[in-house]
Amino acid sequence: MILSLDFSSDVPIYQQIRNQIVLEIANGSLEPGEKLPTIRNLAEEAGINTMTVNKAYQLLKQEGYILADRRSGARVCEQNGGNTVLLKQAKDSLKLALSEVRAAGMQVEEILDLCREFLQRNGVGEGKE
Amino acid sequence: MLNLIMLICFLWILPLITGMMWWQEKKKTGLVLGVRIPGEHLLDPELSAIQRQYKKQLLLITIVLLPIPFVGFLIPYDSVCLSIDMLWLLLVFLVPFCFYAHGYRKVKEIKYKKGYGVSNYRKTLVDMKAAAVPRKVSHLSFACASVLSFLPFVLSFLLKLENDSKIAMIAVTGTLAVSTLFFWAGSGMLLRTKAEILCGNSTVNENFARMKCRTWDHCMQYCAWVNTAFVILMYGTLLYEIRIPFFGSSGMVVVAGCIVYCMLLLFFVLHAAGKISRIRAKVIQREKQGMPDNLEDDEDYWIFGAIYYNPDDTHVMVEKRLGYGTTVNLATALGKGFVIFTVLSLLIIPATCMWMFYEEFTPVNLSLQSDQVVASHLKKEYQVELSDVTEVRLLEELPRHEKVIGTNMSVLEKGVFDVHGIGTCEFCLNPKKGPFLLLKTEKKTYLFSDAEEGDTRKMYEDIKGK
Repeated sequence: MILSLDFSSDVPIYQQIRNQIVLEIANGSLEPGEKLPTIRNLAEEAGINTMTVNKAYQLLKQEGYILADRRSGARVCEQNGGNTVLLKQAKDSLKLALSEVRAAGMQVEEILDLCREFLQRNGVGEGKE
Repeated sequence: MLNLIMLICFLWILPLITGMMWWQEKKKTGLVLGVRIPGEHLLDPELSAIQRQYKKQLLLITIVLLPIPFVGFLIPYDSVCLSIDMLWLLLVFLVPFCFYAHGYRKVKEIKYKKGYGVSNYRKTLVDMKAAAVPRKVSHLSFACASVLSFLPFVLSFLLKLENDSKIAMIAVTGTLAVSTLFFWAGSGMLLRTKAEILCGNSTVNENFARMKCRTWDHCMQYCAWVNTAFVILMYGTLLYEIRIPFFGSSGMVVVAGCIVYCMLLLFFVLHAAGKISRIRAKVIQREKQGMPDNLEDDEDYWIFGAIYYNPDDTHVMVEKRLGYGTTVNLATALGKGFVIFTVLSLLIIPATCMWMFYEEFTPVNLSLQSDQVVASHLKKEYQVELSDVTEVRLLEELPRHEKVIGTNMSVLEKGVFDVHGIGTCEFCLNPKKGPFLLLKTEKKTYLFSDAEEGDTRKMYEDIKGK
């Protein structure tokens, strides 16, 4: 998995890390049980502060995407749809995003094509959820 | 003899550097004169023309610079020969780089004019799997090498030696022992360079990162142990004046030891860097279909294709684009410190040339002051009480001799020398201007001469008279 961090973006770095890890979990590049680099290793590798990586990992842990502890490091959780709070939050975010693109003038068909293209590109077929 | 040693030590550096720069352009690593070009555009005719011109320039500079060190054989003064060699060495590094920088600029212009790359300014790519590769330095091995290296240094303080010899012993063993620590630190720094992203396959990147860490760690360990062996050799040679058949005196043992030491270090480093470079090229060739867009296009952070400046990157060491190995990120504090150290080291070259001229062309002075024979050259002074002298002779010719420690130039010999038929002597003389005054005391033997022949003879007569 290759992380791309944009230091000139308005999106905070920890958010960029979090978003990309979530994307990779969703498309299956990061499998359940897979070990993530330690906070220190990732911070050194990306050339950023350990607190930034720590914040990203804490966020992912709170949202239920990863399990993290001092001894065994961070691992990707099983995503079995059991986290109803997370699911509700994700649905709310999706509703907001859809409202924004509709308000920007995008048609329903265009939105559906975009969703299909994204899901297919990220390894999720038509029949799957 | 000095010219021959300098020739053996330095001459091969020119073809090595120009050859390495030439060979780099042959390899398909996605770089053209240090500029990253996507694979499908590598054969652009304009880029190929620039590469051809650059190679011609490398060949020309090799032909022009190669004969210069041979000029030393025509010059009778060591300081002038050494100065020519050192300034030549500076040119060997600077001139090919100037051609490279000029070519780099042209290629970069074409890259952006034709849209062969998109700026990744203020962006960084990180491979998560490669980032997870443990960077383990073999601390135990380095610690053992360091302890053994410092042992001669510590023992030097306990030795009962003449002041000059003791200082020299401490300086030499101390400097070399510290070098072992540099290799230890170097291993840590090399292992912490950013993992390279050669392709979109994280497993390949991970394996490459693992291989690279292991290779550099082993290389630094070998260098540390070779350094340890060299410290022990230097200690033994200086202390016991080891003589080895064929090599002759301890002075030659030191020279031969230095040459072997440098060759071994160079071999280990080039071998490691070459291995990593070969595997990198193979992986890039094999995986070029799976390259993500704008992979590692950090062109904006490279100055002339050789100097890296990226304030967003906290890594001190990054992979070089020119040559093998790594270079420093000048935006870091350590990188800036490294540059200052390098510039100061380079300034030492002209300073050393000036010092050598001063040493060689300042005449030796021999005088009789009260009841003391005083031989002096610059700040070095030998004082011999006449009452201590047991034997005085005037030698018309200097016997065969070898330096143990001190200065040995064409018109100046100063320090401790081993003289055939006499033994260990303290010298302060011009070997080209006889006669030479031999003074023996109970503890030491001295060989002096004055800048003027007549003055040495007069000194001998005066001493005999007293």
